[in-house]
Amino acid sequence: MKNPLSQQILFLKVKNQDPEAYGQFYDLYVKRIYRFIYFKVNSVSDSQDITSEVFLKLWQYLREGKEIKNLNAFIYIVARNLVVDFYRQRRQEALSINADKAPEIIDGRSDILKEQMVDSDLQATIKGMDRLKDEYKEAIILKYFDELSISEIAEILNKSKGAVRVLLHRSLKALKDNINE
Amino acid sequence: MNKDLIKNLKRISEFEAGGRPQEDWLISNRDILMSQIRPATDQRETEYQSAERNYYWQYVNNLFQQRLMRPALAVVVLFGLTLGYNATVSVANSSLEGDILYPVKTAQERVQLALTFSQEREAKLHIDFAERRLDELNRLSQQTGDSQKKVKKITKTAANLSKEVSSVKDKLNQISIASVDTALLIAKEIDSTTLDLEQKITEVKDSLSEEVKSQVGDTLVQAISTTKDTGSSALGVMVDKYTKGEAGISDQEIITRLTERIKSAEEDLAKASWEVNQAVDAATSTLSLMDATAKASSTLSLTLVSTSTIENISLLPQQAKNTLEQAKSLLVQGELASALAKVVESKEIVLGATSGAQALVNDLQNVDLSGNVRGTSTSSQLETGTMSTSSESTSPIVGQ
Repeated sequence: MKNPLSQQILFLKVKNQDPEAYGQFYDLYVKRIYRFIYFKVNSVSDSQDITSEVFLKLWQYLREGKEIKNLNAFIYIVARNLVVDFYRQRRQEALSINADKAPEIIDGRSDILKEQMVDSDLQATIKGMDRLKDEYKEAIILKYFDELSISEIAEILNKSKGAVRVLLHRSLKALKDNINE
Repeated sequence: MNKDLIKNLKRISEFEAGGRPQEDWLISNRDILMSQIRPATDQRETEYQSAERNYYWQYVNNLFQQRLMRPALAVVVLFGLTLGYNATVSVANSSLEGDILYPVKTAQERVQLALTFSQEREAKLHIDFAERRLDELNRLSQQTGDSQKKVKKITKTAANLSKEVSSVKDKLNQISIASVDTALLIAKEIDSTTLDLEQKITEVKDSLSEEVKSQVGDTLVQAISTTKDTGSSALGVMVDKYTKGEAGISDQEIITRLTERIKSAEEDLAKASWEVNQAVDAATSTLSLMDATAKASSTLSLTLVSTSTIENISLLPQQAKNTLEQAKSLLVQGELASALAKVVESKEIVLGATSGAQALVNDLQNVDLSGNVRGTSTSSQLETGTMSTSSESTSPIVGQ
């Protein structure tokens, strides 16, 4: 983006249902939304399907004239809800990936070796992330991967800013503990 | 520890295992998404444009807070207080290089470009701005008064015109890589516009006094040359798409456009031929009037103005003509890309001929004829006859 105002203009165009602008919006957000979903569902094909659905769903909301104050936060809310739906459909517990799923997760990460990611620190970080509670994962992704503000994270997670700060602190601590185990 | 951890978190996102999506999926998914959302949205254009305008002014305000834009802001405020905002913008739009409101006009253009996300729109804006610079050139050429100020203004405006036309070419290149349909549409527009621009810049140049023309000629020729180059690129894109069998351009259209380029090249050639003939005549007669001693002491460059050099220059128009004939023949045979290449080649030869003629004239002007030939039986004839011939011959060439 050229500058924050250009981004605001892009959002405005998106809200006014300009398809070309929506294409640019997709380019801007697709990687981070995919990543947000991927850490929740741990499957490439499911992440792809849900990511596609997020962008289509958001477009439908725009077409219906739904009031969207903060597009930057709203798209994560849509993604979050669709992941919940995804788990509900599969009759699994929403938002929680417990230790029982570790083999699946590790299997899902087998491409680590394919990508020759020999750095053991990185492998440990990924495994540490996998073992985190879902809300910790979300907080870390939103804050440290996507660099969202505390107030945006609060809006997405439907928590107060203070609660988000506490959550971030606990998330990092839990991740460190996981890595050091 | 936290720092390293956060660094590692960012690094893992570079891997698929860290949530990086596959590139081919990103592209195919985008195509699917766009095909799903495009159809039902055309009617929203007006509403979107109106919203864009609101943000446009917000952006202008931000820009005006920057240091570079302060002079423009000062002018807007000054005029705004007396005339009102709309009137100020209106006056700025009709301003010329050197006018107090001209920075407002150019700032407005930069804002328009900054707010444009589509390559196609950017290309169109640069075309519009090039046409504005041409209009400004036209009005500047008709101004009376201080000729030095006029020279400066015309030089600057012509240079800016060249920049805009170059930007059009750059955008076309980017578009032609990205999107087939858009590239063809833009190429068609550029082809038509550049033909018109070439002709009108030449008219402006011809309308100038000899004094002004001698000083701004190079910049105007540069603008014409850049315009020709951009036009050829546009036609190149069209020929390329046509020969690949892509839809959007008919046999008749591509032939008509190539024919127009050939016709334009022939007009340039006719003009260049006349200039070369004048220069060659002047140089030949000057050489014939100088005896061996005079030649040796002359400041005239013997290496340049030799019989062989003159002959070489004089042959160039015929060479360009032959190349154009080949272009026509190739066009008839349906060899469009080769025909276009020949048109471009002929333009290069014409350019060489014009430059050669210009160099000849420049050297003739440097000859100390009075020192070399004064006192001979032909001196009076030379001073009156040859010099005037030289002057006549230079007049259309200087500044080419």
